[in-house]
Amino acid sequence: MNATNRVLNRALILIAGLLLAGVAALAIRPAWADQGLDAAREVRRRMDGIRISGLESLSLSAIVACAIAVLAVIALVWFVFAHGGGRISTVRRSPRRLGEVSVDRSVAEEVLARPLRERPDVIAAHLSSFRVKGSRTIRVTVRPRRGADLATIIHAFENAVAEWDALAGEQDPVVLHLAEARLRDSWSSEARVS
Amino acid sequence: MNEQVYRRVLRRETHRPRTVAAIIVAVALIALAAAGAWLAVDRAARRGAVAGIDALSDPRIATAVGIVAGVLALVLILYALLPGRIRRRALSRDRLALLIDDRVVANGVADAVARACDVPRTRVSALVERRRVTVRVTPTSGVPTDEAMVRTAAEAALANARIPLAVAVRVNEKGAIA
Amino acid sequence: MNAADPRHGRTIVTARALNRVALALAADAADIEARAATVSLADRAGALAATLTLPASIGRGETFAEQGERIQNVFIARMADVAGRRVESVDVRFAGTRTEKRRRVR
Repeated sequence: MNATNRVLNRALILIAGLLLAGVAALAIRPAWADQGLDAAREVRRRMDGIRISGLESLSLSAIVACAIAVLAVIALVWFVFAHGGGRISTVRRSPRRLGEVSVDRSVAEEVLARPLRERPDVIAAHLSSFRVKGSRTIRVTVRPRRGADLATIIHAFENAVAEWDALAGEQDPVVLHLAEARLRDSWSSEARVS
Repeated sequence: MNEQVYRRVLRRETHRPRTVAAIIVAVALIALAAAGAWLAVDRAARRGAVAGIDALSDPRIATAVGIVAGVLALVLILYALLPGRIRRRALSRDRLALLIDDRVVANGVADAVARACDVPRTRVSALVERRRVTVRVTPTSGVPTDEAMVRTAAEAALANARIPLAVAVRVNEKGAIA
Repeated sequence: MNAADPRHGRTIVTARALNRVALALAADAADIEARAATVSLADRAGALAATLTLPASIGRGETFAEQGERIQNVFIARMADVAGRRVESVDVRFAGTRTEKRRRVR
Protein backbone atom coordinates (compact mmCIF):
# COMPACT_ATOMS: atom_id res chain seq x y z
CA MET A 1 0.00 0.00 0.00
CA ASN A 2 1.79 3.08 -1.10
CA ALA A 3 0.76 6.68 -1.08
CA THR A 4 -0.30 6.74 -4.72
CA ASN A 5 -2.60 3.80 -4.19
CA ARG A 6 -4.30 5.55 -1.33
CA VAL A 7 -4.94 8.68 -3.34
CA LEU A 8 -6.22 6.62 -6.26
CA ASN A 9 -8.52 4.69 -3.94
CA ARG A 10 -10.16 7.83 -2.75
CA ALA A 11 -10.25 9.35 -6.21
CA LEU A 12 -12.05 6.33 -7.59
CA ILE A 13 -14.59 6.34 -4.80
CA LEU A 14 -15.13 10.05 -5.38
CA ILE A 15 -15.65 9.56 -9.11
CA ALA A 16 -18.18 6.83 -8.43
CA GLY A 17 -19.95 9.11 -5.99
CA LEU A 18 -20.08 11.94 -8.50
CA LEU A 19 -21.37 9.63 -11.22
CA LEU A 20 -24.11 8.44 -8.92
CA ALA A 21 -24.89 12.00 -8.00
CA GLY A 22 -25.28 12.66 -11.70
CA VAL A 23 -27.66 9.74 -12.03
CA ALA A 24 -29.64 10.97 -9.05
CA ALA A 25 -29.88 14.45 -10.50
CA LEU A 26 -31.05 13.09 -13.84
CA ALA A 27 -33.65 10.89 -12.23
CA ILE A 28 -35.12 13.66 -10.17
CA ARG A 29 -35.04 16.39 -12.81
CA PRO A 30 -35.94 14.76 -16.08
CA ALA A 31 -35.79 18.14 -17.78
CA TRP A 32 -32.01 18.06 -17.57
CA ALA A 33 -32.12 14.47 -18.69
CA ASP A 34 -34.08 15.34 -21.78
CA GLN A 35 -31.69 18.10 -22.71
CA GLY A 36 -28.68 15.88 -22.17
CA LEU A 37 -30.22 12.96 -24.00
CA ASP A 38 -31.18 15.12 -26.92
CA ALA A 39 -27.64 16.34 -27.26
CA ALA A 40 -26.32 12.81 -26.91
CA ARG A 41 -28.76 11.53 -29.50
CA GLU A 42 -27.67 14.24 -31.90
CA VAL A 43 -24.03 13.27 -31.49
CA ARG A 44 -24.87 9.64 -31.93
CA ARG A 45 -26.95 10.29 -35.01
CA ARG A 46 -24.04 12.07 -36.61
CA MET A 47 -21.61 9.37 -35.70
CA ASP A 48 -23.99 6.61 -36.74
CA GLY A 49 -23.72 7.76 -40.29
CA ILE A 50 -19.97 7.33 -40.36
CA ARG A 51 -18.74 3.85 -41.01
CA ILE A 52 -15.21 2.63 -41.01
CA SER A 53 -14.35 0.50 -43.99
CA GLY A 54 -13.94 -3.09 -42.96
CA LEU A 55 -16.17 -2.71 -39.95
CA GLU A 56 -19.37 -1.91 -41.78
CA SER A 57 -21.69 -3.39 -39.21
CA LEU A 58 -20.61 -1.06 -36.46
CA SER A 59 -21.16 2.64 -36.39
CA LEU A 60 -18.38 4.96 -35.27
CA SER A 61 -20.32 5.69 -32.13
CA ALA A 62 -20.38 2.03 -31.27
CA ILE A 63 -16.67 1.68 -31.86
CA VAL A 64 -15.83 4.73 -29.79
CA ALA A 65 -18.09 3.60 -27.00
CA CYS A 66 -16.54 0.17 -27.09
CA ALA A 67 -13.03 1.55 -27.08
CA ILE A 68 -13.76 3.76 -24.09
CA ALA A 69 -15.30 0.85 -22.26
CA VAL A 70 -12.37 -1.42 -22.97
CA LEU A 71 -9.86 1.17 -21.82
CA ALA A 72 -11.88 1.71 -18.69
CA VAL A 73 -11.95 -1.99 -17.99
CA ILE A 74 -8.20 -2.33 -18.50
CA ALA A 75 -7.51 0.60 -16.20
CA LEU A 76 -9.85 -0.71 -13.53
CA VAL A 77 -8.50 -4.24 -13.66
CA TRP A 78 -4.97 -2.90 -13.33
CA PHE A 79 -6.21 -0.86 -10.39
CA VAL A 80 -7.60 -3.91 -8.64
CA PHE A 81 -4.40 -5.90 -9.06
CA ALA A 82 -2.06 -3.03 -8.34
CA HIS A 83 -2.92 -3.27 -4.67
CA GLY A 84 -1.06 -5.55 -2.38
CA GLY A 85 2.36 -4.41 -3.37
CA GLY A 86 4.66 -2.44 -1.17
CA ARG A 87 5.89 -5.15 1.12
CA ILE A 88 9.42 -5.93 0.35
CA SER A 89 11.67 -8.63 1.63
CA THR A 90 14.92 -6.71 1.26
CA VAL A 91 15.38 -4.07 3.90
CA ARG A 92 18.69 -2.67 2.81
CA ARG A 93 20.57 -2.47 -0.44
CA SER A 94 24.07 -1.13 -0.88
CA PRO A 95 25.73 -1.23 -4.26
CA ARG A 96 29.45 -1.80 -3.80
CA ARG A 97 32.32 -1.87 -6.20
CA LEU A 98 32.25 -5.64 -6.64
CA GLY A 99 28.53 -6.19 -6.43
CA GLU A 100 25.49 -5.45 -4.33
CA VAL A 101 25.30 -6.14 -0.64
CA SER A 102 21.71 -6.58 0.43
CA VAL A 103 20.05 -7.47 3.69
CA ASP A 104 16.95 -9.63 3.93
CA ARG A 105 14.20 -8.88 6.39
CA SER A 106 15.04 -12.02 8.30
CA VAL A 107 18.09 -10.25 9.65
CA ALA A 108 15.99 -7.30 10.77
CA GLU A 109 13.61 -9.80 12.38
CA GLU A 110 16.42 -11.23 14.46
CA VAL A 111 17.86 -7.92 15.52
CA LEU A 112 14.74 -5.79 15.90
CA ALA A 113 11.73 -8.02 16.43
CA ARG A 114 13.00 -11.08 18.26
CA PRO A 115 14.32 -9.27 21.35
CA LEU A 116 10.87 -7.80 21.85
CA ARG A 117 9.00 -10.98 21.04
CA GLU A 118 10.90 -12.83 23.75
CA ARG A 119 9.97 -10.36 26.44
CA PRO A 120 7.41 -11.57 28.98
CA ASP A 121 5.53 -8.30 28.75
CA VAL A 122 4.99 -8.66 25.01
CA ILE A 123 2.38 -10.87 23.41
CA ALA A 124 3.59 -10.66 19.84
CA ALA A 125 6.01 -8.72 17.70
CA HIS A 126 6.29 -8.75 13.98
CA LEU A 127 8.25 -6.84 11.43
CA SER A 128 7.37 -5.48 8.04
CA SER A 129 9.07 -3.06 5.75
CA PHE A 130 7.82 -0.79 3.05
CA ARG A 131 8.97 2.01 0.83
CA VAL A 132 7.88 5.51 1.60
CA LYS A 133 9.12 8.42 -0.45
CA GLY A 134 11.97 6.41 -1.84
CA SER A 135 13.24 5.22 1.54
CA ARG A 136 12.81 1.80 2.98
CA THR A 137 11.13 1.97 6.33
CA ILE A 138 11.13 -0.79 8.90
CA ARG A 139 8.10 -1.13 11.11
CA VAL A 140 7.91 -3.38 14.13
CA THR A 141 4.43 -3.95 15.49
CA VAL A 142 4.40 -4.95 19.13
CA ARG A 143 1.37 -6.05 21.14
CA PRO A 144 2.16 -5.40 24.78
CA ARG A 145 0.48 -7.39 27.52
CA ARG A 146 -2.03 -5.70 29.75
CA GLY A 147 -0.22 -3.94 32.50
CA ALA A 148 3.05 -3.74 30.61
CA ASP A 149 5.15 -0.67 31.13
CA LEU A 150 5.27 1.03 27.74
CA ALA A 151 8.38 3.05 28.52
CA THR A 152 10.36 -0.12 29.19
CA ILE A 153 9.31 -1.68 25.92
CA ILE A 154 10.14 1.48 24.02
CA HIS A 155 13.53 1.61 25.66
CA ALA A 156 14.25 -2.02 24.85
CA PHE A 157 13.38 -1.34 21.25
CA GLU A 158 15.63 1.71 21.17
CA ASN A 159 18.48 -0.55 22.25
CA ALA A 160 17.71 -2.99 19.47
CA VAL A 161 17.63 -0.13 16.99
CA ALA A 162 21.03 1.03 18.21
CA GLU A 163 22.37 -2.43 17.41
CA TRP A 164 20.79 -2.29 13.98
CA ASP A 165 22.28 1.15 13.37
CA ALA A 166 25.73 -0.22 14.19
CA LEU A 167 25.22 -2.98 11.64
CA ALA A 168 23.74 -0.76 8.99
CA GLY A 169 26.29 1.97 9.38
CA GLU A 170 23.50 4.51 9.06
CA GLN A 171 20.10 5.31 10.51
CA ASP A 172 17.29 3.75 8.55
CA PRO A 173 13.78 5.02 9.21
CA VAL A 174 12.23 2.85 11.88
CA VAL A 175 8.72 2.85 13.29
CA LEU A 176 7.59 1.16 16.48
CA HIS A 177 3.90 0.47 16.66
CA LEU A 178 2.42 -0.38 20.02
CA ALA A 179 -0.82 -2.06 19.09
CA GLU A 180 -3.71 -3.42 21.04
CA ALA A 181 -3.95 -7.16 21.46
CA ARG A 182 -6.06 -8.83 18.82
CA LEU A 183 -8.46 -11.72 19.28
CA ARG A 184 -6.07 -13.84 17.25
CA ASP A 185 -3.41 -13.52 19.92
CA SER A 186 -5.37 -15.53 22.45
CA TRP A 187 -5.13 -18.49 20.13
CA SER A 188 -1.38 -18.36 20.06
CA SER A 189 -0.05 -21.54 21.55
CA GLU A 190 3.00 -20.09 23.16
CA ALA A 191 3.14 -20.84 26.83
CA ARG A 192 4.24 -17.85 28.82
CA VAL A 193 5.43 -17.66 32.34
CA SER A 194 5.09 -14.07 33.39
CA MET B 1 16.07 11.24 10.89
CA ASN B 2 14.52 12.31 7.68
CA GLU B 3 11.57 14.42 8.73
CA GLN B 4 9.68 14.11 5.50
CA VAL B 5 9.87 10.35 5.42
CA TYR B 6 8.59 10.11 8.97
CA ARG B 7 5.75 12.46 8.31
CA ARG B 8 4.70 10.36 5.30
CA VAL B 9 5.01 7.14 7.25
CA LEU B 10 3.05 8.41 10.21
CA ARG B 11 0.38 9.80 7.96
CA ARG B 12 0.13 6.46 6.23
CA GLU B 13 -0.23 4.62 9.51
CA THR B 14 -2.88 6.87 11.02
CA HIS B 15 -5.31 7.09 8.13
CA ARG B 16 -7.39 4.42 6.52
CA PRO B 17 -6.41 3.45 2.98
CA ARG B 18 -9.98 2.88 1.75
CA THR B 19 -8.85 -0.17 -0.19
CA VAL B 20 -11.89 -2.36 0.20
CA ALA B 21 -14.36 0.27 -0.92
CA ALA B 22 -12.13 1.21 -3.83
CA ILE B 23 -11.94 -2.38 -5.03
CA ILE B 24 -15.68 -2.79 -4.76
CA VAL B 25 -16.21 0.40 -6.73
CA ALA B 26 -13.68 -0.72 -9.32
CA VAL B 27 -15.44 -4.04 -9.81
CA ALA B 28 -18.80 -2.30 -10.10
CA LEU B 29 -17.40 0.08 -12.68
CA ILE B 30 -15.87 -2.80 -14.61
CA ALA B 31 -19.29 -4.42 -14.78
CA LEU B 32 -20.78 -1.14 -15.89
CA ALA B 33 -18.16 -0.62 -18.58
CA ALA B 34 -18.59 -4.15 -19.82
CA ALA B 35 -22.34 -3.63 -19.99
CA GLY B 36 -21.77 -0.39 -21.82
CA ALA B 37 -19.53 -2.04 -24.39
CA TRP B 38 -22.05 -4.79 -24.92
CA LEU B 39 -24.84 -2.29 -25.39
CA ALA B 40 -22.77 -0.28 -27.83
CA VAL B 41 -22.33 -3.31 -30.03
CA ASP B 42 -25.48 -5.31 -29.66
CA ARG B 43 -28.49 -3.65 -31.19
CA ALA B 44 -31.03 -5.99 -29.66
CA ALA B 45 -29.65 -5.49 -26.20
CA ARG B 46 -29.83 -1.77 -26.74
CA ARG B 47 -33.51 -1.98 -27.54
CA GLY B 48 -34.08 -3.90 -24.34
CA ALA B 49 -32.17 -1.33 -22.34
CA VAL B 50 -34.12 1.55 -23.84
CA ALA B 51 -37.34 -0.19 -22.94
CA GLY B 52 -36.10 -0.50 -19.40
CA ILE B 53 -35.21 3.17 -19.22
CA ASP B 54 -38.70 4.06 -20.39
CA ALA B 55 -39.96 2.61 -17.16
CA LEU B 56 -38.16 5.44 -15.44
CA SER B 57 -40.43 7.96 -17.02
CA ASP B 58 -42.87 7.14 -14.24
CA PRO B 59 -42.14 10.00 -11.86
CA ARG B 60 -42.54 7.88 -8.77
CA ILE B 61 -39.99 5.33 -9.87
CA ALA B 62 -37.70 8.05 -11.08
CA THR B 63 -37.84 9.86 -7.77
CA ALA B 64 -37.23 6.68 -5.84
CA VAL B 65 -34.22 5.86 -7.98
CA GLY B 66 -33.03 9.43 -7.61
CA ILE B 67 -33.23 9.33 -3.85
CA VAL B 68 -31.45 6.01 -3.53
CA ALA B 69 -28.76 7.06 -5.96
CA GLY B 70 -28.43 10.38 -4.19
CA VAL B 71 -27.97 8.87 -0.76
CA LEU B 72 -25.44 6.38 -2.06
CA ALA B 73 -23.65 9.16 -3.90
CA LEU B 74 -23.41 11.19 -0.71
CA VAL B 75 -22.06 8.23 1.22
CA LEU B 76 -19.40 7.59 -1.40
CA ILE B 77 -18.36 11.21 -1.66
CA LEU B 78 -18.04 11.57 2.09
CA TYR B 79 -16.16 8.32 2.35
CA ALA B 80 -13.72 9.52 -0.23
CA LEU B 81 -13.18 12.94 1.31
CA LEU B 82 -13.24 12.31 5.04
CA PRO B 83 -9.78 11.68 6.49
CA GLY B 84 -10.62 8.36 8.11
CA ARG B 85 -8.30 8.67 11.07
CA ILE B 86 -7.38 5.49 12.80
CA ARG B 87 -7.49 5.52 16.59
CA ARG B 88 -3.77 5.75 16.88
CA ARG B 89 -1.39 8.49 17.66
CA ALA B 90 1.93 9.27 16.10
CA LEU B 91 4.75 10.49 18.28
CA SER B 92 8.33 11.05 17.45
CA ARG B 93 11.31 10.08 19.52
CA ASP B 94 14.92 10.99 18.91
CA ARG B 95 15.74 8.03 16.80
CA LEU B 96 12.47 6.50 15.78
CA ALA B 97 8.83 7.19 15.14
CA LEU B 98 6.29 5.83 17.53
CA LEU B 99 2.73 4.80 16.89
CA ILE B 100 0.49 3.93 19.78
CA ASP B 101 -3.05 2.63 19.49
CA ASP B 102 -5.44 4.64 21.61
CA ARG B 103 -6.63 1.45 23.23
CA VAL B 104 -3.13 0.74 24.50
CA VAL B 105 -2.91 4.21 26.02
CA ALA B 106 -6.34 3.87 27.59
CA ASN B 107 -5.52 0.53 29.14
CA GLY B 108 -2.21 1.80 30.43
CA VAL B 109 -3.79 4.82 32.07
CA ALA B 110 -6.70 2.88 33.55
CA ASP B 111 -4.38 0.18 34.87
CA ALA B 112 -2.15 2.77 36.51
CA VAL B 113 -5.09 4.55 38.12
CA ALA B 114 -6.59 1.30 39.42
CA ARG B 115 -3.23 0.33 40.91
CA ALA B 116 -2.42 3.68 42.46
CA CYS B 117 -5.86 4.41 43.85
CA ASP B 118 -6.56 0.87 44.98
CA VAL B 119 -9.78 0.68 43.02
CA PRO B 120 -10.76 -2.53 41.19
CA ARG B 121 -9.79 -2.27 37.53
CA THR B 122 -13.36 -2.97 36.49
CA ARG B 123 -14.39 0.32 38.04
CA VAL B 124 -11.92 2.41 36.12
CA SER B 125 -12.28 3.29 32.49
CA ALA B 126 -10.35 5.61 30.25
CA LEU B 127 -11.49 7.17 27.01
CA VAL B 128 -8.77 8.50 24.76
CA GLU B 129 -9.59 11.31 22.36
CA ARG B 130 -7.43 13.48 20.16
CA ARG B 131 -5.96 15.63 22.86
CA ARG B 132 -7.42 14.34 26.05
CA VAL B 133 -7.99 11.22 28.04
CA THR B 134 -11.01 11.07 30.30
CA VAL B 135 -10.64 8.78 33.27
CA ARG B 136 -13.90 7.65 34.77
CA VAL B 137 -13.98 6.07 38.21
CA THR B 138 -16.91 4.37 39.93
CA PRO B 139 -16.24 4.92 43.61
CA THR B 140 -16.84 2.47 46.41
CA SER B 141 -19.88 3.52 48.41
CA GLY B 142 -18.82 5.25 51.56
CA VAL B 143 -15.24 5.75 50.40
CA PRO B 144 -14.56 9.20 49.01
CA THR B 145 -12.52 9.17 45.84
CA ASP B 146 -9.44 11.27 45.83
CA GLU B 147 -9.71 12.99 42.47
CA ALA B 148 -6.26 14.45 42.81
CA MET B 149 -4.80 11.00 43.27
CA VAL B 150 -6.57 9.73 40.19
CA ARG B 151 -5.28 12.65 38.18
CA THR B 152 -1.75 12.24 39.46
CA ALA B 153 -1.72 8.55 38.65
CA ALA B 154 -3.03 9.16 35.14
CA GLU B 155 -0.60 11.96 34.46
CA ALA B 156 2.30 9.92 35.80
CA ALA B 157 1.47 7.03 33.51
CA LEU B 158 1.34 9.35 30.55
CA ALA B 159 4.51 11.15 31.51
CA ASN B 160 6.33 7.87 31.93
CA ALA B 161 5.73 6.99 28.32
CA ARG B 162 6.01 10.64 27.29
CA ILE B 163 2.57 10.74 25.75
CA PRO B 164 1.24 14.28 25.58
CA LEU B 165 -2.39 14.14 26.57
CA ALA B 166 -4.48 16.26 28.89
CA VAL B 167 -6.25 14.44 31.70
CA ALA B 168 -9.86 14.86 32.71
CA VAL B 169 -11.24 13.01 35.71
CA ARG B 170 -14.87 12.08 36.20
CA VAL B 171 -16.13 10.37 39.28
CA ASN B 172 -19.45 8.61 38.86
CA GLU B 173 -22.15 9.86 41.15
CA LYS B 174 -23.42 6.41 41.80
CA GLY B 175 -20.96 4.21 43.58
CA ALA B 176 -20.67 0.48 43.95
CA ILE B 177 -21.44 -1.05 47.31
CA ALA B 178 -18.63 -3.59 47.24
CA MET C 1 42.87 -25.04 -18.38
CA ASN C 2 43.90 -24.89 -22.04
CA ALA C 3 46.24 -26.56 -24.48
CA ALA C 4 49.12 -24.35 -23.42
CA ASP C 5 48.75 -25.57 -19.87
CA PRO C 6 52.04 -27.17 -18.78
CA ARG C 7 50.19 -29.61 -16.55
CA HIS C 8 49.19 -32.88 -18.13
CA GLY C 9 45.70 -34.09 -18.73
CA ARG C 10 42.47 -32.12 -18.99
CA THR C 11 40.18 -31.13 -16.20
CA ILE C 12 36.59 -30.63 -17.07
CA VAL C 13 34.64 -28.92 -14.40
CA THR C 14 30.90 -29.33 -14.65
CA ALA C 15 28.63 -26.49 -13.67
CA ARG C 16 27.47 -28.51 -10.69
CA ALA C 17 30.96 -29.15 -9.50
CA LEU C 18 31.86 -25.51 -9.90
CA ASN C 19 28.83 -24.62 -7.87
CA ARG C 20 29.93 -26.97 -5.11
CA VAL C 21 33.36 -25.47 -5.10
CA ALA C 22 31.95 -21.96 -5.06
CA LEU C 23 29.71 -22.93 -2.15
CA ALA C 24 32.60 -24.26 -0.13
CA LEU C 25 34.65 -21.18 -0.87
CA ALA C 26 31.80 -18.84 0.02
CA ALA C 27 31.20 -20.61 3.29
CA ASP C 28 34.88 -20.42 4.03
CA ALA C 29 34.99 -16.74 3.16
CA ALA C 30 32.15 -16.07 5.55
CA ASP C 31 33.50 -18.42 8.20
CA ILE C 32 30.36 -20.52 8.28
CA GLU C 33 29.35 -24.07 7.43
CA ALA C 34 28.53 -24.82 3.82
CA ARG C 35 24.96 -25.81 4.56
CA ALA C 36 24.26 -22.29 5.82
CA ALA C 37 25.14 -20.73 2.49
CA THR C 38 23.57 -20.63 -0.96
CA VAL C 39 25.47 -19.83 -4.09
CA SER C 40 24.24 -19.23 -7.57
CA LEU C 41 26.54 -18.62 -10.51
CA ALA C 42 25.54 -16.96 -13.71
CA ASP C 43 27.13 -15.84 -16.89
CA ARG C 44 27.00 -12.15 -17.46
CA ALA C 45 28.30 -11.28 -20.90
CA GLY C 46 31.05 -13.84 -20.69
CA ALA C 47 32.02 -13.04 -17.14
CA LEU C 48 31.12 -15.01 -14.05
CA ALA C 49 28.70 -13.37 -11.65
CA ALA C 50 27.93 -14.90 -8.29
CA THR C 51 25.15 -14.38 -5.82
CA LEU C 52 25.86 -15.54 -2.30
CA THR C 53 23.19 -15.83 0.35
CA LEU C 54 24.56 -16.13 3.86
CA PRO C 55 23.70 -15.32 7.45
CA ALA C 56 24.87 -11.96 8.71
CA SER C 57 27.39 -11.92 11.47
CA ILE C 58 26.15 -10.08 14.54
CA GLY C 59 28.25 -8.76 17.33
CA ARG C 60 31.47 -8.57 15.46
CA GLY C 61 31.46 -4.80 15.10
CA GLU C 62 31.35 -4.98 11.33
CA THR C 63 28.64 -3.30 9.33
CA PHE C 64 26.72 -5.23 6.69
CA ALA C 65 28.62 -3.41 3.98
CA GLU C 66 31.98 -4.19 5.56
CA GLN C 67 31.16 -7.87 5.96
CA GLY C 68 29.85 -7.96 2.44
CA GLU C 69 32.93 -6.40 0.94
CA ARG C 70 35.25 -8.62 2.90
CA ILE C 71 33.39 -11.70 1.70
CA GLN C 72 33.34 -10.42 -1.86
CA ASN C 73 37.10 -9.93 -1.87
CA VAL C 74 37.92 -13.29 -0.31
CA PHE C 75 35.49 -15.13 -2.56
CA ILE C 76 36.88 -13.63 -5.74
CA ALA C 77 40.45 -14.34 -4.66
CA ARG C 78 39.71 -17.96 -3.72
CA MET C 79 37.73 -18.64 -6.87
CA ALA C 80 40.69 -17.45 -8.87
CA ASP C 81 43.19 -19.52 -6.85
CA VAL C 82 41.23 -22.72 -6.40
CA ALA C 83 38.91 -22.88 -9.38
CA GLY C 84 40.87 -20.77 -11.78
CA ARG C 85 37.81 -18.70 -12.58
CA ARG C 86 37.54 -15.00 -12.73
CA VAL C 87 34.48 -13.70 -10.94
CA GLU C 88 33.45 -10.23 -12.03
CA SER C 89 30.72 -9.48 -9.55
CA VAL C 90 29.55 -10.94 -6.29
CA ASP C 91 26.16 -9.99 -4.91
CA VAL C 92 26.03 -10.77 -1.23
CA ARG C 93 22.64 -11.20 0.37
CA PHE C 94 22.41 -11.50 4.12
CA ALA C 95 19.56 -13.68 5.35
CA GLY C 96 19.36 -14.87 8.91
CA THR C 97 21.99 -14.17 11.51
CA ARG C 98 24.69 -15.84 13.45
CA THR C 99 26.38 -14.61 16.55
CA GLU C 100 30.10 -14.51 16.46
CA LYS C 101 31.83 -17.48 18.03
CA ARG C 102 35.37 -18.50 17.67
CA ARG C 103 35.07 -21.89 16.03
CA ARG C 104 38.65 -22.57 15.29
CA VAL C 105 41.91 -21.90 17.02
CA ARG C 106 44.12 -20.30 14.46
